Amino acid sequence: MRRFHDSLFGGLLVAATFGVAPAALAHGPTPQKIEATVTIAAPPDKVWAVAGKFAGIAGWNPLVASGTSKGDGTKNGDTRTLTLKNGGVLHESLDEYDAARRSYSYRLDDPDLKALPVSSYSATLTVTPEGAGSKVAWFGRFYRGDTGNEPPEELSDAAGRAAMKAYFEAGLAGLKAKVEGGP
Amino acid sequence: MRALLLTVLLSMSAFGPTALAAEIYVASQDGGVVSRIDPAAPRVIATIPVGPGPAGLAAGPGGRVYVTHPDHKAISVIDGPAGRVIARLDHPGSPFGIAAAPDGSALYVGDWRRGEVVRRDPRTGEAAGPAVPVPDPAGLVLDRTGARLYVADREHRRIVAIDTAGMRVFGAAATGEGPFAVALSPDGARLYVANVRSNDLTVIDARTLAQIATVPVGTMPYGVAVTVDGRTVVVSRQHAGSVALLSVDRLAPDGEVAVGRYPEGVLALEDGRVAVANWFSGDLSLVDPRSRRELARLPLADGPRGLAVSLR
Repeated sequence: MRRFHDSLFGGLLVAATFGVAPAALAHGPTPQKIEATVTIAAPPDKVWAVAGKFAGIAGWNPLVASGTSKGDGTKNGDTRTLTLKNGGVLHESLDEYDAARRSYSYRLDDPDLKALPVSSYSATLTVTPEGAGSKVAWFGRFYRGDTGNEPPEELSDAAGRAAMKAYFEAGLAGLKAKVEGGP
Repeated sequence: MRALLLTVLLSMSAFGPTALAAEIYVASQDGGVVSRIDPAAPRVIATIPVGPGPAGLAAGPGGRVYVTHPDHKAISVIDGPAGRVIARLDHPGSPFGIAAAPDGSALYVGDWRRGEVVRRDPRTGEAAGPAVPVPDPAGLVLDRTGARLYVADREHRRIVAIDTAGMRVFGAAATGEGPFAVALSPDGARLYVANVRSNDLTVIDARTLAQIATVPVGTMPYGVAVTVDGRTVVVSRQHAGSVALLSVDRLAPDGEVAVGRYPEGVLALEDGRVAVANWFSGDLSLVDPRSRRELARLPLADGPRGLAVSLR
């Protein structure tokens, strides 16, 4: 019974009575896809030096106010806590970190509907060469905020897609600006 | 002609009547279709519209295929060879994992919302016998005879074993964290459980329910199957975009094969190959575990997760 305060409804109450995390229910309904990409006019190593810092996301995603990490952010199981500018907090853990392939994968540990209206997600960020520059792909899988059969609009699949899209796209635009030294 | 019919939802398998050449059925949750595939060619033979959000899949005798719609309180009944839906069964709650009795007498459905496993009559859809409480039923697998059902209870680190005759729990087996997909060895002696959160595979004695081993398999293991010769366990690794191969004899890693993005359901075919539903990239990989190669990739409708194999 964690982190769900004001928007409890059927499915989550059922979950709560079993004493399980709301993310637990996330596998009945339809998982949702998120993918965003950006090309950056800089070599992959230079992009990775910024994007590859697991807890350094506050340095380039304008929606993230601050980030702290447990571990140095390169080992499986390291965690990061991100405070968003909207006041929400995301607890995430690193699943795979591969500096040689400039790729890392992570998952959400505890949902916070205030941060993002989703109950669980996992995602991967990769940097690959593209012409003389780089391409950054950020993609993942998530479940809507209310995994019951009749979610309210603000916790629906559509709401989750909109929020995740905004978060990923703002992040990649910010990353591009930071690495290219743009505005 | 004793052969196995493996029914798999997210690689939950069940055994059925004899088969030589089989077809694969895959449910595409976003596309709202079930694809029927000839694995020999390999090619998609038919794309069957089934209504929104199909997830779990089970094949029964007589060419029947049963598909759950977790968000829509329903189970579609498909006539496989005819390539069309012939009935829609009501299922209050959120039906997800499904298995079909090999003699066609029953369906077993895990309900994610109501926290129970229900037996239904495949013809009428009526519930038959008491529902068995399982708070978070994910993958489920029926043994060869249809007498025992094993259900992954995702938030409770366990497999619940059910005697299907009386629909009563006869035991539980401890697993890792987040048990999701379940597979039985071809001889029915061992259960393999993929644990999504602890990133490992629990090996269980199917008869005594004693834990035999825990084997690390990489992050986000969402599907599991055992090759038809019983020698290799194949586990999908969503983050890596690959399947891990494990030697049954040594219970240790024995290679890895790259597939599509976010692989989920895994299905063992009779010829020794393995089919993998790649959820994100929307395609199906056919893998040869012996040569450790991906042999083919077939495009499918969006969101393929569960798959099953049936008679031609």
